[in-house]
Amino acid sequence: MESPRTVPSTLPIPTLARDYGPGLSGRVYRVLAVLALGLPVLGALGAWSLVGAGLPVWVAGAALGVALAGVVGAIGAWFVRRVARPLQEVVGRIEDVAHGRLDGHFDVPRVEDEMDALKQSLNEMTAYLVVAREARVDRHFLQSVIDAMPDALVVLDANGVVELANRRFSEQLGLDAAIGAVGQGLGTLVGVRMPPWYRTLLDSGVLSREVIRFTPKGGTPISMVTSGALVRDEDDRPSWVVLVARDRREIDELNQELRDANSRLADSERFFQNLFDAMEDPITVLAPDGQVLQANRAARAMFGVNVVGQKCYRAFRMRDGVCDGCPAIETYASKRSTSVEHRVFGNAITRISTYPLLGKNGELKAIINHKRDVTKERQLEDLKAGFLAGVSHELRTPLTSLMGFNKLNLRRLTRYVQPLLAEAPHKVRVAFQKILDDMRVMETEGARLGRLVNDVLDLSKLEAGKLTLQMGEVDVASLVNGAIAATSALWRDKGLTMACDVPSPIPAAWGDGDRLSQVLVNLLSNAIKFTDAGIIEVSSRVEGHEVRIDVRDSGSGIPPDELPHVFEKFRQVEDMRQGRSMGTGLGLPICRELIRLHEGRIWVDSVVGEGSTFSFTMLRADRLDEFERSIRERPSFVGY
Amino acid sequence: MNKRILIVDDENYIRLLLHRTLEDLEFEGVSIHFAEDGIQGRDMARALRPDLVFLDMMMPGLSGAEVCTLIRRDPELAATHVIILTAKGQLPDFPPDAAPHEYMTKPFDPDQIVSRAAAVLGVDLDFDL
Repeated sequence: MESPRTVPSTLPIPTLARDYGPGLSGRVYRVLAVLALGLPVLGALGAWSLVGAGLPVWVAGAALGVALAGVVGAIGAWFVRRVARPLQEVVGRIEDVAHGRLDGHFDVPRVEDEMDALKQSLNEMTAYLVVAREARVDRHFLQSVIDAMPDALVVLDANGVVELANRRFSEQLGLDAAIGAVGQGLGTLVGVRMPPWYRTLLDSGVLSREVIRFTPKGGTPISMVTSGALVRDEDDRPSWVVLVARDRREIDELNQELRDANSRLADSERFFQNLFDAMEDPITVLAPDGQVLQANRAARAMFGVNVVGQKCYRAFRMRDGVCDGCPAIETYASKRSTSVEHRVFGNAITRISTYPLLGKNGELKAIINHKRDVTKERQLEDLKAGFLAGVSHELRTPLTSLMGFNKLNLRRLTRYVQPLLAEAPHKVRVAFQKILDDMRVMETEGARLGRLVNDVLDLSKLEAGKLTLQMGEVDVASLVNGAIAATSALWRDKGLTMACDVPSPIPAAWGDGDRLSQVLVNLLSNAIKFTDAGIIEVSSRVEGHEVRIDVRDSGSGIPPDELPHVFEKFRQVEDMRQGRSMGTGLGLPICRELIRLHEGRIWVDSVVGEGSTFSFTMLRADRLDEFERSIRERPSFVGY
Repeated sequence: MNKRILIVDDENYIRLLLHRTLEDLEFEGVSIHFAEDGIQGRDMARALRPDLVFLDMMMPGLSGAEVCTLIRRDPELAATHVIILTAKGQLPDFPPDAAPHEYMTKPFDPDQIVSRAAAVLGVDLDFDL
């Protein structure tokens, strides 16, 4: 601790120049003596000589008077210059000092008389006052600083008397803060005049965390943990002792809080460790350099108890085979979560998923590595896919026969039998016509069953992620025109108007043309199906990095309570009144899955009685980089 | 020599349906032959050297795709036209030199089958479809 700027108890006594010859007063005395002796003599001599020269007496008297007046005037001027004006200056300066203006200064190059001595004394006095005032300001500043300290501070002089104490010290000891402990002796404060610790402090110069029991007179006894230092003066003599103290109970409380916090932290850590260990899948946390930082129980069981601290490629190699295509490397490079499936040991399939742990500034702190045996899931999926393919084949084969023979029979009947019935009785002709009608019902319903089988197969493939898209640039105008053409029979039959609004040019979409067409045809067929009269409008526009297509109809609309469910399986809005739902209930779910696979969105707006608008978006082929960026900006695991 | 059609399908009624569908061609001197699985289909194709083969995809023994590849790569059968009958979504990837000439999806339309067959064989039917 540095010693505070000190207040000098004495100023060096200025050596005033007392030796300035006869000085002002001596000169005045001399002049007055000369005048007292000389003037009467001069007057008598002047008068006598003038009268002797023959001048009349009055003339001599007048001349003598003028001469005397001149002498007195000269004396007066000298007096004003040397005595009255400096006196005024000195008086003014004293007034300034009295008002606290200490910045004036007399210029005294050489002390010649009492005035100069007076001025010099005034200069010395103001200099002293300036120092004293600064010292007062310093002490106030120092007191404010130590009062602001949260700990108790006390400064003792070499005799153990309190020179300075802060507010906290006075408060802790229950002393009057205004007067504080200043002036009290060590004996009064701690009950012993020269306690051993004080002796140690004087000897060694420091005191470290000593518990001292302060027992001030008129105050509260209190145990404080105290540290101190000895301050020596320029001559290396002990001058002050500085003590900083804190209530022991406060420290105990702080320690307790710290212990509690540590305990809570340990609890939480134990909780998460248990959680971590309870995971059935092996999970490890890797440093960016590949060192295994943490491993849960399953990971330790799989890779060995000593896995923590090893490099991942050493730790995992035996089990995973190779580092090629390791998702941790991809995550390290991209700071994105990655997932890879490896086939190991014949048919076993392991999925390795890695997640980045990012710091506050987005820097990679660690990588979570999660392994899962997905053999059973994959087997089940394969089984399901195989089952569905088998079922659809088994369903389609008899359906092909049924529909084929029906069609064949229709052809035979119309080609060979119908001509023969022209002459047949009315009843026979009517019955024959009914047979034809019924066979056509079988034809339509068979076709519907075929669509259902196809849709079920499509949807299961989509949901199993087995459908791969043939991505490429898709011309939006051709897409729209193609779908309108494909459904032309439907809307022409119902007498609907088809409007198309596609701006030209419009950027190409990115997707599988056949699948996007399937979506649009499906939406158009729905619109036509639920619109009795009016207009169907297909419009397209660019929205950011996407192209959007709207299919608006003027149909019956969808009730609000049905709206959230239109994209669910087998949730078609039946128009029971007209009993004309001919769909499979899978069209919109398929559309949704297909658009989702294209990274687009599909939704519907509808007002009952006014119509519905189905909309979907596709990525713009020329703005794929923006889409990539938007994916990258999706939140990842941040924290750690 | 007469035109020959070979129908390869393991389903009895599909064979019958195809026969019924194509029977009008028999009046035009086309002979129709049947194989009940892939292996028989391969052997009959080599023996008969048919002008047109209708091939089912899913069959025991050899699949339609395998039979198709064998026929298309057999120099003796360069003149044989192969139509694969398949369910939608079951089209396998063929090497370019082994691909069938065309696909038709099940459930198929008999009129379409007969008109394609007539076109491939260069036969005029005496009726309009």
